[in-house]
Amino acid sequence: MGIVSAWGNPVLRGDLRARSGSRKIWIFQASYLGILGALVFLGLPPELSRFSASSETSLYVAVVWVQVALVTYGASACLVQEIAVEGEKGPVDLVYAPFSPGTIVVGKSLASLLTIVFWLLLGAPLLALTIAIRQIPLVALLPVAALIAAVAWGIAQVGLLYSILFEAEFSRILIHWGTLIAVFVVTALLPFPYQSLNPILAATAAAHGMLPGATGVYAVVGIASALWARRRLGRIAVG
Amino acid sequence: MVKIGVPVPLDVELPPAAWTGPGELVADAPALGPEVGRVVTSTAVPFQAVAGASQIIHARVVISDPRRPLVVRVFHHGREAFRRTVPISPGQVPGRLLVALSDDHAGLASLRRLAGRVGVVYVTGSMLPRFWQEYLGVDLVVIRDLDSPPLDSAQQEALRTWILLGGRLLLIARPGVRLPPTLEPMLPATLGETRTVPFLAALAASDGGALPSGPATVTALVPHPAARRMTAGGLPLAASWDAGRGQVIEWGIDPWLPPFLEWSGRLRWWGEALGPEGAPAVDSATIADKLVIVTPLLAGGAIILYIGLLLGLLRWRATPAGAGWSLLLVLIGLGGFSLLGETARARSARLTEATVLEPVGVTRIARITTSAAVVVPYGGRYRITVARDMVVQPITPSSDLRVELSGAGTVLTGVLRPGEPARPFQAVGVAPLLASAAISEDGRRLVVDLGSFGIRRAELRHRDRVYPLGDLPAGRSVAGLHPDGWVAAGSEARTLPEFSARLRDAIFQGPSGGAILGATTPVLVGELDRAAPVFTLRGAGAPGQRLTILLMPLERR
Repeated sequence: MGIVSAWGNPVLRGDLRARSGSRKIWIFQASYLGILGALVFLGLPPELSRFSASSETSLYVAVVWVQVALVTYGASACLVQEIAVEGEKGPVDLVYAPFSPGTIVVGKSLASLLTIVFWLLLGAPLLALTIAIRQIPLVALLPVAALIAAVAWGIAQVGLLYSILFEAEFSRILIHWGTLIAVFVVTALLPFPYQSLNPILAATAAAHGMLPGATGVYAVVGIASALWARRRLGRIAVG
Repeated sequence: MVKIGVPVPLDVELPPAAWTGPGELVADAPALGPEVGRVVTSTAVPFQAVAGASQIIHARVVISDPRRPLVVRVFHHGREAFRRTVPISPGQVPGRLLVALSDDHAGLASLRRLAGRVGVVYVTGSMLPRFWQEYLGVDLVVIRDLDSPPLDSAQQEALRTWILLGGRLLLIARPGVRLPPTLEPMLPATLGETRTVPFLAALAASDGGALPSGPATVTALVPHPAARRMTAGGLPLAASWDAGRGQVIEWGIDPWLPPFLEWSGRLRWWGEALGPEGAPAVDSATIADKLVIVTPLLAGGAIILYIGLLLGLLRWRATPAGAGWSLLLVLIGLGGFSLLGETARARSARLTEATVLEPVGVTRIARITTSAAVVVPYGGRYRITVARDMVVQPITPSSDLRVELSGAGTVLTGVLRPGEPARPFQAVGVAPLLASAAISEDGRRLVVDLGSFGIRRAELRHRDRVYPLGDLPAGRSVAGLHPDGWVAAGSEARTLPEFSARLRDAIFQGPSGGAILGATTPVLVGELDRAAPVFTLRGAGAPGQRLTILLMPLERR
């Protein structure tokens, strides 16, 4: 029932239609798959004579790092409108259409989540090649997928919030990149327990079979941002 | 006495067994390897035990770390039934080794004063090896007394082969000492009558050296016309000649008897008999370094195909339904790439080998030196079968290596971790081969007789010059050589495949390369058309690279 009602969301349908037909999204997907493919291909012959216990899964982990970075950037850039998807309207524009703020935020969030899952699925066969060749069990992909989805969706919701809070495109892009740098770089400089919020470190842990706490943190950040975005949209609609 | 880094024969006398049936002797030889921790290479010899009967088991081990003891264990159905630890003292590790068959087990202690830490081991004829490779650590075999029964045919053949491939034999001519029939034709002189010379020092030696004073009993030799000789007062006291690559020497004097026993000049004689310290013409370690193993991957094409199809579909059907259809492609990709990963993993384990064949003049034999490297890039077990009659040893000592010796050949098993470098081995053997090559005195005519095989990409090498000859067919070939045909070894005019070029560089630029190229005559180098593999990697999904190179010094005629 929930799925049916979600699919009935016009914002979700519109965004999915726009994204599937977008040339920019296609180019992003081509770049994403190209980078992953090149990395997998170049990393397949193991580095002989460079053995160390920690390098056994290095290619697999490197692919996961690239995935978390690219998918997070792609998802948030779409919602912050840094990648201006042809035919996809921003949340503020949709306020003036006959859609409630809740419909807009849910539609945008679900479109973002589905896009993230779609991108993860596109890259999954390449990841399967790297793990099959190193005899890593396929179930090891589950925590990785969960983490990437949570991080990318969480940051994308922050991007959605920025698209409502900041009217000027330059400000949006600037704060978007500031957020990405904070998430991917500054968190790595934090002391021990907080360091695990870094998506790269969290992805490394997930690649070794653990589901890091960062998954929950970014999911909470996403939900909070979505709620804030809905509230803000509501004010704009009333105003 | 234990020579480091070469196969050492090991005869283990087992106590009476408590069972009848299969058993296994395992000799754990300590080694110095690049790995962290204790490195032990295990050599296993399966045998049939008979309850109540003791038996002697023959094994071959390579010891490269004498600081730790050799451990010999016997297993019955996986349970250890016997263990003996054999410590090796530093005094048992000589630089050069002299093996003496003499009833007098004394008299050669002063040889320690010779250069190269000469060690002497006294043996009886029955203890001599039956594999010529077990002589690889020996510098000189001295036969003074041969016990009865005489050497069996395997021992005779092993000794003969070792001499032909570069070994040195010294026979002390004494009444009653006769070499076995296989070895007798190799002697440079026949034994004449035994005489007592009252004043030996008074005789003028042909080499200008002094002789001990006092009376001495000597055996006059009757040297072969082609043999080198040393006479004293016209009496031939020593004769020698080359036998293949080796040398056979006969002394008409007995260095175990006075006045030679106390004679100060004896060390010079022994030094000449031992000869210069030899190194193998072909350095296996250098060749093994060149055995770079490339793992070809099918994955590149599959990745491009997958990405191309996916993007094509997403562009062609730019709708949510098209994206749904692309998920079908993702599903196929998941299955296909998992399968491809498994296949690539299985095919990545491979073995590369390079064999150098060195015919020894007219002796109809050739020394085989094979270097091989096995790699399991993504980690796992390997199992390599080595051709019969080839004696194998690891070039880089490593743990997780088991060498199983049996009548059917040698099997090497081990484990390589992901990313671990290729594990190199070397095998040494001999093969019947009739080939000859000669160059005229003026260097303008080459005559090559390759018997039943042809060689490809043949060339003459002399110092830093190369004369490309192209392919040479089986049988006899005659070629004119033009002085302009010699080119620099690094010349771009030479078009050799990469693997072949690398191996030739390894042979000629290795530690022994100078000796090969610096000889008075050029060497003929070429690749053999067909040669059986020496190493076979079991379960390899793909054949590895293999190359056999013929290396033959030219005679000057």
